[in-house]
Amino acid sequence: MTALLEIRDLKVSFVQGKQSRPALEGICLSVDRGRTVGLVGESGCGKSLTALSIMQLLPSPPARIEGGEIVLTTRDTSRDLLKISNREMRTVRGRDIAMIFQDPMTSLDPVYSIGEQIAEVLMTHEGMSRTDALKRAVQLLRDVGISSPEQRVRQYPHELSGGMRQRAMIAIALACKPSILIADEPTTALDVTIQAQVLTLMRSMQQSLGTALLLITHDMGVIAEMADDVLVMYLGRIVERGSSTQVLERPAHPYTQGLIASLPRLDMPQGERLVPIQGTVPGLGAIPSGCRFHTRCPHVMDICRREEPKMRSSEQGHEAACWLIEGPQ
Amino acid sequence: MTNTMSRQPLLSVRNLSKDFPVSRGLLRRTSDAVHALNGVDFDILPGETLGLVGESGSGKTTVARTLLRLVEPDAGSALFRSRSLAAAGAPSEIDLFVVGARALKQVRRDIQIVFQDPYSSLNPRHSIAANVGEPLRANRVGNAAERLARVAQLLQDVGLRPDLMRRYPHELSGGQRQRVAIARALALEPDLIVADEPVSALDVSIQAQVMNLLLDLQQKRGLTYLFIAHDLSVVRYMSRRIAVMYLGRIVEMGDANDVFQTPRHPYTEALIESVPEPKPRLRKQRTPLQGDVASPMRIPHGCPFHPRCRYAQDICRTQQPLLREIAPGHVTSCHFAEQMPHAAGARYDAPTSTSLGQSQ
Repeated sequence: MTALLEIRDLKVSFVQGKQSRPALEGICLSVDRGRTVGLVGESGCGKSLTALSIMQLLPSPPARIEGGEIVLTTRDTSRDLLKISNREMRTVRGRDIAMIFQDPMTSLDPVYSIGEQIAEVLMTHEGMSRTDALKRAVQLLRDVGISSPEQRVRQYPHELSGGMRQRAMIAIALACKPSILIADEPTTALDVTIQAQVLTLMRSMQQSLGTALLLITHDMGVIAEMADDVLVMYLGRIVERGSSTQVLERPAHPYTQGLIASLPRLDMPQGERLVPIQGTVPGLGAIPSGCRFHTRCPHVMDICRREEPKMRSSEQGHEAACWLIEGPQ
Repeated sequence: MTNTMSRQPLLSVRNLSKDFPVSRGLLRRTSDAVHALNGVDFDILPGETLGLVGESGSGKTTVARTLLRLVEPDAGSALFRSRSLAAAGAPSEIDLFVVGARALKQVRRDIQIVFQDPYSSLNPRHSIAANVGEPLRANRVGNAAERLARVAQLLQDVGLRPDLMRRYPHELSGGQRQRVAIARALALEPDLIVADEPVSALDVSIQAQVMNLLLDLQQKRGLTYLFIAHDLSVVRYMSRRIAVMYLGRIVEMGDANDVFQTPRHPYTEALIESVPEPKPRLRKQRTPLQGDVASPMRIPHGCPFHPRCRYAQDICRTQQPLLREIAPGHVTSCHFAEQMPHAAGARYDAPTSTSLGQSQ
């Protein structure tokens, strides 16, 4: 069976004048129906850029897609999103692929009521009448756990709390039952008790609609809670992939190991010290030669400075780009 | 140095309260008030870290700001033992909330603050040297050359190269900027540092670097911290004692181990349960806390937490529970603290560091 969404060898650069800086290189990922794939990494690693490439919402210029394919397979037809027209892409966005962002306040329109914003999606993609769409909006708000939806549907974003706004965003995103939902740091701006509510909601909606989820976050805890498969990104490349148990419990790449060792945990014995990764992420203009993590890696060897490692698998379904791994390429 | 002192508190806060008036309408009449702090009590012992944790709107930041008198409190007292005043021959114990301007300036040498966002707390038009040296200049410490040498030393103390002195804040990374803010806070050799979400804006690898730096500085200099954060794991890592705030009150306070292993307030329990942990096999079948935090303009009657509390009874809706000691050094404000099951705490009894052990 073909994957629902498959990215092959995606390359994106930032172009400024005659200078071109690679921001994403050799990105390969696939999302199967109903699965949750987590994309994790620190700021500037290219997580959001990957999401925006899928949605064809890259700020261009300066971003330019240099190569690769993004193949979406729905209703038995496969399309490369990089090749279809803008008009066709508009039917994909919101209907086949929906996206929610970190800050619902800036992604909701402040001058339209919540109901109108949900109805807009239904009128555009499903050809519903305004009255029907507004009725459906009430039901959708109820589905995402908003109390007294009949009143809320007439309210404006500023009248809702942060958690409720994110619920409203989820209602908009899921209005047309998309086959895949891209969630870019959906709970980062929320308090921890509200985050728990929203994660629970996302999981139950996913189960009832069978939506696949591409979840982008910097929070390993959220990944552990939600994702089936995990991809770890560093400086525009995927450096490790595997199931969430494999990656979080047996991290193979020194970067992933470092990220996990940097995390304070509730069950840490008092007095145990965190072991942070040395140094900082280099800028895109100064990507190190060879393995791009070698400047911060505690296990760096000569070859790491010269040659970029390919993905090697350390166990079934688990691979990382590191010279230390002796498994097959 | 501080460890050899008596175990008298360095800072003792009682009944700290603050309302922010809300003006509405064309005439901007004061129609309402945000009850930001409603009788906050806590002590900090010299050399310890008190972690203050809570969600947005709980009043954490207002506590920090009132202590430095960046916001004037409405009521309460904050007794502080000031080394600078003692050195100047004045009585050393003073109430931070009543001291006059002159003494306040003196006391501010002893209490410094580090904010969440170093980009907005550093002056973008001043070089790093000027930013770090500002407190020295304002307090007329040494001459220009001495101050510059001191700045170089401070930068080294926080793990930065002294040649960054001539740079400007925008040229530094977020982690470097927060180190600069810490260097500035250290410039006058304070006893107490109020750290308000100092690592929240940083990526995890940098966050761990800065937290370790703060711990090292504390050990070397005998610093006392009031450490404020919304992230429970961060607070736990940094603090010996923890105070949990909800709607402008401390609802539970005690030794970090006690609070996390046997939470005695349903809100603390819910907070702990809400934290997603990086262990897929521990994936929780949780019952998330219902509802949103109430508006601090309309704090519920009785126990402020009762509308979200899974254990709420009739008494919780009518009678406000007072903070009381339930075990030595462990206080809580819940009518039913004795009956609380420790489902959440039980998970932390036996640390399971094995699965993550290989990461070094």
